Amino acid sequence: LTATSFSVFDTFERIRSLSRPATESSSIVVRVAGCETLVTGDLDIVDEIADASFDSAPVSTRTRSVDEGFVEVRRQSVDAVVWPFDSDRIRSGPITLERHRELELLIAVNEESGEAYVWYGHEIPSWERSAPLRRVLHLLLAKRGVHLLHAGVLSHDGYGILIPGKGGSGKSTTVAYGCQSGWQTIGDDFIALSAVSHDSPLPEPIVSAMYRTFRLAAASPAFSLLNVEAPNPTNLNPDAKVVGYLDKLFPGSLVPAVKLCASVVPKVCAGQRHSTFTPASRALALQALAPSSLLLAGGRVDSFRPMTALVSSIPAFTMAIGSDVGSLLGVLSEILDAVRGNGHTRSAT
Amino acid sequence: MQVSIPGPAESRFPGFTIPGNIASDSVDGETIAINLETGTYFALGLNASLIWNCIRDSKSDAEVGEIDESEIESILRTFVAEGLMLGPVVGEVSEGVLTKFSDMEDLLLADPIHEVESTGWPSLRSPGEGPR
Repeated sequence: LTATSFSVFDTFERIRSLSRPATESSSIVVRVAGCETLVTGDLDIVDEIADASFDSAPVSTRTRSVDEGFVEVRRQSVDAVVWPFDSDRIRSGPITLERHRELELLIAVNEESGEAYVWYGHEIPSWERSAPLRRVLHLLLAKRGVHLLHAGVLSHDGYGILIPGKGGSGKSTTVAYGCQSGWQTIGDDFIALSAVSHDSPLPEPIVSAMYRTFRLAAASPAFSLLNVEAPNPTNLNPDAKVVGYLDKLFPGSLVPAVKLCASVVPKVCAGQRHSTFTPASRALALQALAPSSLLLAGGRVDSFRPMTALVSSIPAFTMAIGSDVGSLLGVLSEILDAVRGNGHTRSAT
Repeated sequence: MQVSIPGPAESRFPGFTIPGNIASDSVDGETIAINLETGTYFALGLNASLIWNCIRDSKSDAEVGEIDESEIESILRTFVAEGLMLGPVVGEVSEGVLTKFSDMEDLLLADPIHEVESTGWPSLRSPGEGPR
C-alpha cells in the first residue's frame, strides 16, 4: 500500500491539474484505475449512463477524445443534466452510480473492472479538490481490503496516534502543531486502513496516506504556523478552509504509513487554558471514527467492521484542547509515554 | 448466576428486525448504530447492546436473560421509536437506553446506496418530476 499511496498521489496531481475553471460547455470525465493499472476497457458504461443522464442534449452533440487515460466529454449545456433515477445512489452488481445533490458531480464506478467515471457538471467542487475522488477510491479500494477513514494521524518515533473526529473537532489543528514540532503524519482528514482480514484486534494496526493535502480553517490558531499569507476571502472554500500540501507546508512531515498505538479523540475546550487527556472507552473512539467515515465515504458499510477491529487494537483517550493550543503536544507526548509504558489507565493530568 | 435461555435464538425477540439503512457494530460490549439515511447515530448502553446484538446476529444470548423484562420492553420500544428497528411494539423513547447524536446530519449526502439486483435499475422518475 505504501507504493500505492504515492502512485495515487501522482494520479491526483494530474487530476488536480484539470481543476481549471470549467467552460460553459464542457465537463470532464476522469478515468481512474483503482490502485493498480490503468484499465483500458470499453466505454459502454459511459455511453449508457450519459444517455440516461443527459436530458435534452442529444447524444450526437457529444464528442469524445481519449488522451492518456483521460476522457473528455463535451456537450451543449450543463443545465441539461437530469438524474433520471429515484435515488441519488444506486448499485447493481459491481456498478455504483451516484449523483451529488447539487448536480455538481456524477460518478459511475465499476468495481469489477476497476474503472470509474466522474462528471463534473460545473467547476470541480472544493471538497473534491482537497480529497479528490474520495468516494470513487472508497469503493474501489474497499474491494481490496483498504478502507477510507475520516481521521488524522500523528506519529513520533514510530508510534502513531489516530485522531478521529468530525470536522471542527481539532484534527487538523492537532496535526499542524505536531508537524510544526517535528512529528510525522499521513494526513489530517482522510487516511487508509489496510485490513484484509477482520481479525479483532488487528495484528498490525497500520494506516496509510491517501492524500498530500492539508485542510485547515482560517480561524484555527494553527493557521499562523503555516507560513502562508493570510487567505484572500475570494480564495477560501465555502467552509472557510484553506488547502495546501502537507509536504510543502511541513517539509519532511509526510510519511507513507504509520503503525498506531493509541486513538485520541480531540475536542476544542476554549474554557480551559492547558490541554488535558483522559482515558476513554474504545466505543467512544469508534463513535468518533465510524459515523463520519461511513457517512462521508458514501454509505457503504463494509468498512464498519475493520474500523471496529482497528479501535479494538489500541487504547483510547480523549483530549481537551485548551486555549493554550500548543500545550496539546505535551499531552500527546504524555499519552505516548503512557501507552509505551503500558500505563493505559493513567489519569488525566 | 443460573439463567434460562429462552427458546430458539430467532424467537427470542420475534418480529424485530434491523432495517437495511442501519449500520452497527460493537466494541467492548458497547454498540454504535448509524442511520445511513439521516446521519443520526446512537451509542447504545450495555443492556441495549446485548439485546441489539442478540437480534442483529440472530443468536441467543444468555446475558439477555438477566435483564429485567420491563427494561427489555423499554429498550425495544426505544429502538422502534428511534427507527433503529422494525417490530411489533409501539415506539416510545425511554431515557438511559441510548444516546442520540444528530451532529452529522448536515455533513452527509443523505441517501445510502440502494442495492439493485434482479429488478434492474431503480425506477425512473416520472416525466416532469425533475431532479430532487
